[in-house]
Amino acid sequence: MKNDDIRIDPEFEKELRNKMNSLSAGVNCFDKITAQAFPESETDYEMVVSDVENVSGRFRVTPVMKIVAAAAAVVACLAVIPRTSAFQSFLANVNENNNSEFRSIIREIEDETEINTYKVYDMALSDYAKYNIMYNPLCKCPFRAGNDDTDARVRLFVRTYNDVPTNQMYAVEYTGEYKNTNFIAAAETDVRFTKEDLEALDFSDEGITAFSIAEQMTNIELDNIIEKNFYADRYGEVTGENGTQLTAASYIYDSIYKDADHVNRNLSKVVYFKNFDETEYYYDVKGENAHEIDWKRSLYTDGTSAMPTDEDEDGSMFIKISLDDDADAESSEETKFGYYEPYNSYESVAADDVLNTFQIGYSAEGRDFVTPVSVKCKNSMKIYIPNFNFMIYSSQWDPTINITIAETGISFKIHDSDLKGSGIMHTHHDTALENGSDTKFDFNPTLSFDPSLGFDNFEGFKIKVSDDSVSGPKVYFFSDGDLSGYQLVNDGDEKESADETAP
Amino acid sequence: MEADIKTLGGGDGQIITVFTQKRNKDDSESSVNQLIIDCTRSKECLEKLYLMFKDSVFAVAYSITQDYHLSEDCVAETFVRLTRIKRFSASKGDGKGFILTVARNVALEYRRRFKREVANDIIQNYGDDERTVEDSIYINQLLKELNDKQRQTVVLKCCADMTFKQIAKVMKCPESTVKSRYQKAIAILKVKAGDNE
Repeated sequence: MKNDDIRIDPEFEKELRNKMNSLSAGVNCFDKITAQAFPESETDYEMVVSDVENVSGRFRVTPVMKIVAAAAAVVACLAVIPRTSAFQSFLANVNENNNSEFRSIIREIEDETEINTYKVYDMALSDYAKYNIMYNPLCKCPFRAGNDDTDARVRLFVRTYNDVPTNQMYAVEYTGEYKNTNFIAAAETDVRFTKEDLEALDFSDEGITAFSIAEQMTNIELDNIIEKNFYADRYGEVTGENGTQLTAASYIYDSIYKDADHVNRNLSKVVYFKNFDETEYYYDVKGENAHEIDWKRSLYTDGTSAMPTDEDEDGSMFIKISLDDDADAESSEETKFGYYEPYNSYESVAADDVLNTFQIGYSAEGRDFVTPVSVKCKNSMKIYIPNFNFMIYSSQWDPTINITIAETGISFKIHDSDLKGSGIMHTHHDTALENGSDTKFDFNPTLSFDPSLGFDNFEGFKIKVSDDSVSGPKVYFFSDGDLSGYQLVNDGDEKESADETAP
Repeated sequence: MEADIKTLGGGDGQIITVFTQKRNKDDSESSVNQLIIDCTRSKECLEKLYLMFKDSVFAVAYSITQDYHLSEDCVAETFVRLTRIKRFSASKGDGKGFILTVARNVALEYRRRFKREVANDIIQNYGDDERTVEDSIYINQLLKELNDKQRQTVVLKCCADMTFKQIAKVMKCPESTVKSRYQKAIAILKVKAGDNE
């Protein structure tokens, strides 16, 4: 909804405001707040002492003045002391001390990548900042991307164990070639896995089986989140609560997380979506142990902090929102959505560990939608589509969703057979019918259509029938070009009135 | 002062008015931000913030808990938490939005914590004196037709005087969703008002 001029009712607003103000007028809890916020009574004591001192005429030097005096003395010394080699050496030492933390991060990266297994990503800083959630949904970019450093790049080092990423991570911001002299900043999560930490994780056959079951459960939970938070419109698109059409997807982020007390393997559920008419993405991460990963330190080469200080500086295209996730709720038998797995459809291309921007289109016009970066996440990616979607009413024999990967130009198609989900109604194509007359069938898309009459008698109509080999409702679709319609027939019901006319 | 400038009229006058309003708004925002930072150590700053936002914080809390005393506790807890804030950017932060986000989180936390007890209460806590009870009942009756999110949206818009963009940030949802929730809520309330008449 673009229009900002929401019609409001000033009288209603005023009335509610007045009543609420009248209600809150009786609230007086400031004493309670100060008692908790400033618990000590030392303030009063200090006042007394200060007053006594003032009475005695003794001037009390405040700490601020002491600091100012000390700073002034240092400035005076620096101005007076001649710039001898000893002085230069002193300055160099000060400088070296500032750099030492930065250098320790760089040294640690060099050592760690020699000894342990790391997955290394290299991308433009602007891309990493914009799409950080696609690299790792649990942490944001540790560098400031609000500036115009268009040639700045980031090299991200993620320690892995049995190909599962951990929260032992490092990042270096640099320009040009990746070498010490080109480094701008470095960051670390300050997590270190020991051999014992990792060996305690269960990667036995039993562990893998248990994990696979957990993964299936996570998939079901993801679908439930989608069912709970999104809607399907009559045009076969996914919408938000307000009816805005959008593209919604999910993926699973499998990771190993270490904190002060535990080492766990976690499956985080990531749901993200983009409204058709907006450029930002919205996302939420769910999971019992879906901890946010903190970058412990992010430093420029001079030792000052390189961490973004607020949202304006992190440059992200992803806005965190809170989706409903009622884990206790039983999943509904009736679903609104099915899905397709773009990287698991039979035509799709092999995935690399790079960000892909899909241009998804049912027709010529494609909509941009980014994918997760890692191959594992890509393989778990689902893009959701309402059970009642354009494939059902399309007059094409083989309607497809066309996807082009913007970065490579490679295209592939999602066919009806690629759609999954318990509510998806697959169609197969009958041949155009040749013999017979149209006298038995008064073709009017607004009237019910009786499939029991048999389609064989009609000429010129293309008829698609949902898959007869599976139980459940079937859709009979008919079209002669300008006129078209469909009918839903449940098992046991030979006839049911048409739900709607296909647009 | 703004009113004086508006009476000047004419093209130039309008431009001056716009600039003046913008500057005043920024000034007030930055002063709130500074107060948030200073209230961690200054009682005076905390008191200023309390006087400025007590009503809005109460309204947000009431829209969530629908309980007078619980909302009062939320007000206290919100301001106590503000004095413990460690990271807040005075130059770029949205002070008001920040305070109301804290208030909302506190109220949601309190509601979760006391949900069972409140659910078991036959009569909700409407306060102690007659006027308060009357106002509580009025507001509860007015807003009872709305769902939780619609109620919060209406209160943030009407009682906390927030823009849709600010509300979206506080409620962590797209701005378009906030607008549609608000429209739906107003439509429901209008129907209800019609029924009452």
